[in-house]
Amino acid sequence: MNRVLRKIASTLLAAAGALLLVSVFLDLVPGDPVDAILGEQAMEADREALRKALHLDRSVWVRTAYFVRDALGLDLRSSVPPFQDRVFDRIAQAFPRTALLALTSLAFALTIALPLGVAAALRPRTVVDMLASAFAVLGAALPRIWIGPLFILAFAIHLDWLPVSGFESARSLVLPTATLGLALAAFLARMIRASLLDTLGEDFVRTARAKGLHPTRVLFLHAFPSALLPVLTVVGLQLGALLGGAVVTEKVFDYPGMGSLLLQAIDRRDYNMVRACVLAFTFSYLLVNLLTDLAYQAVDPRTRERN
Amino acid sequence: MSAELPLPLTEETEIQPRRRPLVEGLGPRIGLAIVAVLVLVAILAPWLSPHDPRAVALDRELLPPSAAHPLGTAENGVDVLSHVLWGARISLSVGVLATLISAVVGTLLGAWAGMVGGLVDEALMRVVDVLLAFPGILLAIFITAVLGPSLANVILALCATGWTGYARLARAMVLSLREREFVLAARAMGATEARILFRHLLPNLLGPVVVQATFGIPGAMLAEASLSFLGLGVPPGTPSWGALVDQGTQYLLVAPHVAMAPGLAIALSVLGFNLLGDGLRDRLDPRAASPRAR
Amino acid sequence: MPLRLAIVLVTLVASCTRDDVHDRLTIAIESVPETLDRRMALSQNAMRVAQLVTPGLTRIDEDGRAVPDLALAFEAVDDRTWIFKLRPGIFFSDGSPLRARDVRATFHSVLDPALGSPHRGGYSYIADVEAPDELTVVFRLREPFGAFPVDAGLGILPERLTDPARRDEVRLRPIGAGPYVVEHWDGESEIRLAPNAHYHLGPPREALTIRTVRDETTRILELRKGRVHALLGAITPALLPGLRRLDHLEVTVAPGAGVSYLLFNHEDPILARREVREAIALAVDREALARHKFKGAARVAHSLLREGHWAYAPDVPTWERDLDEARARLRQAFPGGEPIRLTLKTSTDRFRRSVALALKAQLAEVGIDVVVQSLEWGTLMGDLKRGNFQLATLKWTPVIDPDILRLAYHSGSIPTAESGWGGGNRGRYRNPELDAILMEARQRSDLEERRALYVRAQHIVAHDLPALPLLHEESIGVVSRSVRGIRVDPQGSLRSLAQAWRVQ
Repeated sequence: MNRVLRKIASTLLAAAGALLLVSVFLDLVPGDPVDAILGEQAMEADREALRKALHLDRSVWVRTAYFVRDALGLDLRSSVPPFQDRVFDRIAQAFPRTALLALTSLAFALTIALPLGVAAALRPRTVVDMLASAFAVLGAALPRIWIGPLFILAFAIHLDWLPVSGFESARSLVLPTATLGLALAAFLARMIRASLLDTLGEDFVRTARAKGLHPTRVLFLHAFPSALLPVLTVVGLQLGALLGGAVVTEKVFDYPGMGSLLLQAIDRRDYNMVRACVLAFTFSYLLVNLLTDLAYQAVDPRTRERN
Repeated sequence: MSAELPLPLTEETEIQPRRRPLVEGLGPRIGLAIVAVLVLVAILAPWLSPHDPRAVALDRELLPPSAAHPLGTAENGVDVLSHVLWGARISLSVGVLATLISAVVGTLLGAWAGMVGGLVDEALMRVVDVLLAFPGILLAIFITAVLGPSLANVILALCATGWTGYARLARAMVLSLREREFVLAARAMGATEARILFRHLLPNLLGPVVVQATFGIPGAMLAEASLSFLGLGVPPGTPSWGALVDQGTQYLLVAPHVAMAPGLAIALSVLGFNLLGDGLRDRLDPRAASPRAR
Repeated sequence: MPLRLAIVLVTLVASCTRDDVHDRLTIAIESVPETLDRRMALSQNAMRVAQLVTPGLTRIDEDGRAVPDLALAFEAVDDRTWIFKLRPGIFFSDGSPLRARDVRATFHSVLDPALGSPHRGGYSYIADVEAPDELTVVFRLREPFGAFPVDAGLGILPERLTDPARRDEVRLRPIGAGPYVVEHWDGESEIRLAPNAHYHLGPPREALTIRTVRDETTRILELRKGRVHALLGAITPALLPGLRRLDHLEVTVAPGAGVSYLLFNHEDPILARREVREAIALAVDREALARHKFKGAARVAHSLLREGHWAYAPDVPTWERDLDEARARLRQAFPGGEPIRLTLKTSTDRFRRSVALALKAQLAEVGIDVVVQSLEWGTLMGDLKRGNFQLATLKWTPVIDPDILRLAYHSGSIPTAESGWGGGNRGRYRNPELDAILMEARQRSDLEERRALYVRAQHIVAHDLPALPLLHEESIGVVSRSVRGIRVDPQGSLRSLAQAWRVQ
């Protein structure tokens, strides 16, 4: 319990750190946000009014404090004219979509990675292993900015099976999921292979085998749970990274998730939106890690003892 | 010299098995061959390239492959083959330098935190937490925006988050090593903490760090391509693969050949480094070599 | 069982929305409008979409002139008083008639600090708006302003909606007297517009969907797939030959209102020398840029105004490419033959970067070594305003009123700390003679008098080269052949969509 509290405390600390980091960076970025927002032909009176509204006459700390106040009051508005976008509404819209994409990508990756990784581990240094590894390495090797448009060209234009972009139906999810999931599948397949190979060499598995248990039984009841533990950690880390790292994929497929929201906020110099996006990323990442950690503890008795 | 006598010979032999070739097996050998070719191309690019990779010929824009331009031309009539050959130089430098800096900085910081423990350790781990949770792309955007666009800043942007992985690895390993007999023995002999760190701990970290770095290089090369896509890559005209893939995706409908060559070049080198990394891991990483050593 | 039901439902809903989307005329734009309230809009796309719902008293015709739209006619009774007569029989989309007090209330609300319009300062020269009868509006200005009819194009709302307290509602669902009425918009990337049954020129034949697709490649792939029927603007000219080869698409290149230019920093010791600027003007091959980079979708610019604009000066010096002459000017400026090295700053836009690289190659031919830097937009503008640059490529768009010359070259438009870094004369060009002409031209309301003054100004500018105009960039539209009636507008207006229809 104590440990959980400490975890939560360090999570909040990291979130506060991320907020300060983004605020300081926003302050350091050269160029006047007023220029970017009001454009070339703005009048001086409008520029001055905007500068006041954005608290640009105050220090970075005061601005961050204003942000925290508005955020805690749940009335955070976008910081570009017309100052009307409710930041939480936009994040509440975009976040579930990115989470959905992250989950489908993870599911896609596991669907491919589990059989490949297990097959490779059971037949190490054979053709099966080689083919599985070859796929695993190739999947990670293709740049997303190239493979994404190629997928669109092949499956949306030439074969005409799927939509090009946007978020209209379940079919819209297929191509971004494949683009995002391919590299992940490759990564996880290698991870599963290595971890399972490790476990298969361990004493308790050998003992189980020596006792004459059926190989399948040994695999699923003994080796598997233990081998999946390190994979679980990696999945947790990757899910967090997926939540934040879908920026490129979301842009290619014009998927209206957190990545698109963040890019748009940066383009518009919508500082409140940028800060809020960073906080959303940070919290989701930390939360996923916290959950992974707890799950790990629940499954693996050794960690409990060690701590 | 005498302080080094109690060096744990037994430990070392246990961690580093008998002398054998650096890479074994088909996959790692292919990987090594690809990486070797890549390095050769990077070195020989000026002699291999048929054209100057920055030469502009407006009337020869986006031409399909021909005798004069075996891989066709890109924007402003730049020769794709020359761009890709020179790109090996830029992309490899970006990948290697970003990884090298990340690895050195991360390993030293992580090992130091693991050695000293306490407040330093706590503070470093919190910084790592923040950086890991911070969207990496946004950090890169900020860095290039604040410092201006240049090759060096692209590398710096990649390092900004890159070092955290090595810091975590080094710290974890130091934590597990520092109570081992050879460290305790050195300490008993009166070795300073710095000496223990540099003479006894870091050599043991080298293997795993090298393995992780081998996977880090292709990661950095892919990240460079993503930065180009967001308009934050290398300066205009610099022949990097990422920049050319980005340019090529823009012309996918009218000139698909532009993205093809650099895309395959990136894929091939990522493949090479990954295969090599697999081989090195079997050879250098004690955790992989002897699973029961945990 | 419930699970299966849910799956079926989801599939059904999914397929419905799909067909629904398929069945509407759809165009794609590159950024989400921040608002549909014309009083609050800042981005080009927000203004373009808002105009479809809430037109104003005037609109800009293809020659860049303000012509009556909701107004029947307008005139300046003296240099500070403008009278607008409204067209009778115009109704808002909610069925209520357009009256003079709606116009008055709309302009008053922009001037009301409570609304917080970013255009309040821009309209602060308006002293008062009166509505003496149902169809007459009188604008009283604090100072003479010849280009007022252009500003009078502000989108008109019904009086009851102009209350600042209702601005959140107006942002998503403005009501106006335009061809369309907002059917659905939640602030996200898809805006659905329905025909306005009360539109005075007759309701459009088709409902319209405006989608934001941020990446250009994806926009074009959507067009290729047929899910988007038209792209009006924001198309890289290099794609034109490829797009022309596609049978089901029609590429239209129409005169555009944007002009790109090479900006010189006059406080830079090298560029302060006229010979260097002249050498650059003589070395740049604008003809080649227009032909190869723009694939013909641009014309060499000799002034910020294009040929055909009512204030265009037809016989200014044109600076044809002459490499020998350029080298001679450089020798004049630097008899010692010192190497000239200049930095050229541009945005991160891929096409602008490639144009900058082409310029670099052209200037290298006369021995000027150019380093191209591409900077994120805010950073670029910050550097330019503070004079932290040597060369830069930028674009003025849309060029409507020749008063843009004052914004670009008047010494009062130099961005300074005191002016809050506002103003468009980022090259820091100073010329008292030009200043006087431009101020006088701004205050005249007679079009002929203004024209004569602007012709003189353009001659001074073409000789002195405060900046080198590069190209008048054309408006490019790519429209599916299944759609008829769309015209590509020089200012990027979407009005012609109201006349479009689809054929099978």
